[in-house]
Amino acid sequence: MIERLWNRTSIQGKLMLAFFIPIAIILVMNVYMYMNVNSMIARIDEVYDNNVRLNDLAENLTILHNSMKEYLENKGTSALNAYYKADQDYRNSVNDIGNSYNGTMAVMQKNILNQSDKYLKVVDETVQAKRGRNVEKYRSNFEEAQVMYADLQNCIYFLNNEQFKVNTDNYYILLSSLRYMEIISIVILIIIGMVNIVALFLLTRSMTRPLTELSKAADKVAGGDFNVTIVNPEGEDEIGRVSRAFAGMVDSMQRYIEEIRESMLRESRMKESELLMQNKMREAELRTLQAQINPHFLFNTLNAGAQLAMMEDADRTTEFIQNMADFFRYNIKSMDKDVSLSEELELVDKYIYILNVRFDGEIHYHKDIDERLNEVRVPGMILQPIVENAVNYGIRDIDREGHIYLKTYRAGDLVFISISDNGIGMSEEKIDKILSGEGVTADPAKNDSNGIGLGNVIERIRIFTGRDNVMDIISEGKDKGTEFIIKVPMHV
Amino acid sequence: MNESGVIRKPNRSYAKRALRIIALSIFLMIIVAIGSAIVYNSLRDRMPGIIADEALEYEGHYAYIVTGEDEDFWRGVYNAACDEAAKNNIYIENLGDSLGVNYGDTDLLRVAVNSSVDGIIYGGVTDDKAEELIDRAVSEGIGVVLLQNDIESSLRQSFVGVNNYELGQMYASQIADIMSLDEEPSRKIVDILVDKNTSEGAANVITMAIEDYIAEHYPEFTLPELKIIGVNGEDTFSVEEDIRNLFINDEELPDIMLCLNSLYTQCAYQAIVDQNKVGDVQIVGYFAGTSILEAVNKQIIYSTISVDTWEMGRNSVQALNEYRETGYTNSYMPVSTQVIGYREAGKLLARGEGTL
Repeated sequence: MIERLWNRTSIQGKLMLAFFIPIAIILVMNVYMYMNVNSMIARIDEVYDNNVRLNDLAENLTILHNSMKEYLENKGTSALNAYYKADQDYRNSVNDIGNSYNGTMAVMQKNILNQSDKYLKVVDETVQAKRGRNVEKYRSNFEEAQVMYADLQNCIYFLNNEQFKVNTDNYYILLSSLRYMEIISIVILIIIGMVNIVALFLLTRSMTRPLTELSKAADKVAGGDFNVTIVNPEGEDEIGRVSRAFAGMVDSMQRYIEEIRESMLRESRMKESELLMQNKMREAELRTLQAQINPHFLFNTLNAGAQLAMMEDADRTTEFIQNMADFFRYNIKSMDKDVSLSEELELVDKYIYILNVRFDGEIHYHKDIDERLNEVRVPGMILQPIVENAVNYGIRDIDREGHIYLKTYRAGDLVFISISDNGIGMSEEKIDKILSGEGVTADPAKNDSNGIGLGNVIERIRIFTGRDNVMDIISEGKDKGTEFIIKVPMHV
Repeated sequence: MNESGVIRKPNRSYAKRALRIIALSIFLMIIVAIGSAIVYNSLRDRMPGIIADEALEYEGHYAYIVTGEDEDFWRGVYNAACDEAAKNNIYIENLGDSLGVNYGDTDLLRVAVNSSVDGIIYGGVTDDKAEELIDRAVSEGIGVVLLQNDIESSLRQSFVGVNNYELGQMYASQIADIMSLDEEPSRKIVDILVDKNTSEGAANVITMAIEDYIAEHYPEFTLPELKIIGVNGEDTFSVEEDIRNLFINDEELPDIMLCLNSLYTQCAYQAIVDQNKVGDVQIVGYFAGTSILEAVNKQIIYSTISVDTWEMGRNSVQALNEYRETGYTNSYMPVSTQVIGYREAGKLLARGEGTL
């Protein structure tokens, strides 16, 4: 029951309790000790009280006696009044002493009281006798009063003296007791203070222990270890709540991490299959493109070779056939792989040679090659189709001499391969169509083409380089020729 | 990863420990508090006893008035009286001690009467002034008991002491003893030391008793020459000087010296030793205090008459008590006396007695 209540109390409450109880006890002890010391001091103050009273008594007695004497001497009214007043004062101080003694002191006190009674009576009789002019009586009475006065003074003096001795003893005893008390008080305060400190230390440690454990657990969690122990998760105080919240947090963190891990796994699997698919597609695409190569071209060329062979049985035919063979070999070989730029340029040379054989040297081919770029890798069969395009659509039908220019150069990280002609040029529409891949598929049946259209070339360069902007087509208008600029990175 | 990564460990001991700590510390502090309270109270309880003297309310108050030289003797009487009085919770005030000033017997008697005490035990001078005061006391309802020296004419209630005649007879027996030591007993000179103020009658009773006793018991002896020597006890140290003077003049030296109180006995004994007169003068002392017993034992003093001081003190208080209760009491209460020779003195000293 108390345990549950304790569990439910907030840390503030617990700390308040832990501080309040000791402080209350110390306070009560202090008040108690203070009262004790105080009462003791009050006693010390009282010690000499009865001496003071006895002194008063002796003084009043003297005044009384002297006033009586004065009256007897001059019988004045003022003396009589002074006598009455002194009489009253003395009676008062006798009453003041009251019963403040016991034991032997009380006996002495009783002696004084009784003697005082008799003395007052004698004094009164003396004064009355004086008033009644009974000279003999007041004289004899005065003698008696004198003696009694001396006795009384002696008795008072003696009692006072005795009292003083006892009081002095008492005073020293009280003083030493007071010192005792002071020492005891200090010792008690020290003991209680030490008990308090120890209790507070233990208490606060027992309160902060769950916090320490929690911080250790937090460190462990921070280090990635979720196998932690949370102490006292059912406590109702702040630490209990923090513990519970921490446990919940660790739980949900674990769950989220698990979820993220799973989704990442899924994603990577997906990416993997996607890549695979892309590869497949590219392959398929390539094969499809390769499949577009027109066998007609082969036949036509072969016809041309045959015709040449028929006309002259000489070296040229051999060369021609040789070029043909190389061309086709390259064609077959290079379609599905990347090649060096020099190989491509060589193929263009061979193609131009073949065409010039075919068209009897009608094509004027010029090249401006940067030898340093010869080893740049490019997809196979990209220049020949463009040159073919330039021949077929650029310069075939023009009346003037047809020129084909091929130039390689570098700007920054890009290698530029420019193929230009002085042919009929190309409209903007056509250029857009070619670049967007529409209607550019060569028709091998109609044309003397190897079946690879410009669209195919552009597409392959794009796949190869992974870039979109791989070709520019520039034509300044009709009969102004066309320039194809292929842009490939130095290193793919 | 393990789903139950967080182990929730209930920490029951946490609350329990905290509670235990609190309970223990409170308990400790309360113990200390109670302990200190007890210490304080015991300290405080010790105080009132000191402050208020013995917390006694006496039921009666007798004044004990004895001045004069014979301190040892009267101290014994006073102690006995106090013991007896304590039984009835009565306080005996030694008035001579209580007043710082040097009051005479009659002065003290006056103070006692004026103080309206419940009773007076008086062993002082027996002059007219004393008698007057005694009568006044009795008239005021204060019982008066006289010790040692009686004033028969006064209104005193009782006299406690040795009858002078009886005392004289005891001294006479010692004189006879000393006389019989001689092979041929001769007439002896006997000095009887008495207080100058003692009435002539009292001294005469003693001499008469001595003469009667010897005439009756030892008719063959010549009656000794009895000389009453008045010792001045009024001035300080005068007793010692008076007695010493007796030994200076050899011709006046007696054969036997009777000392009627313990102070005379001690002074005579000192003088006889100092003057080298041991054996020349035989002293018959009074009272059995230690120093006197030792002197008897050494045979410096022939013998001493021991008066039972204890009985004297007790009887005096009893007489006053009786008077307070019933209104009358025995007018004479005798006190036992004993002659102590050197054999008895030895025995008494061996028993550790004789300190009275």
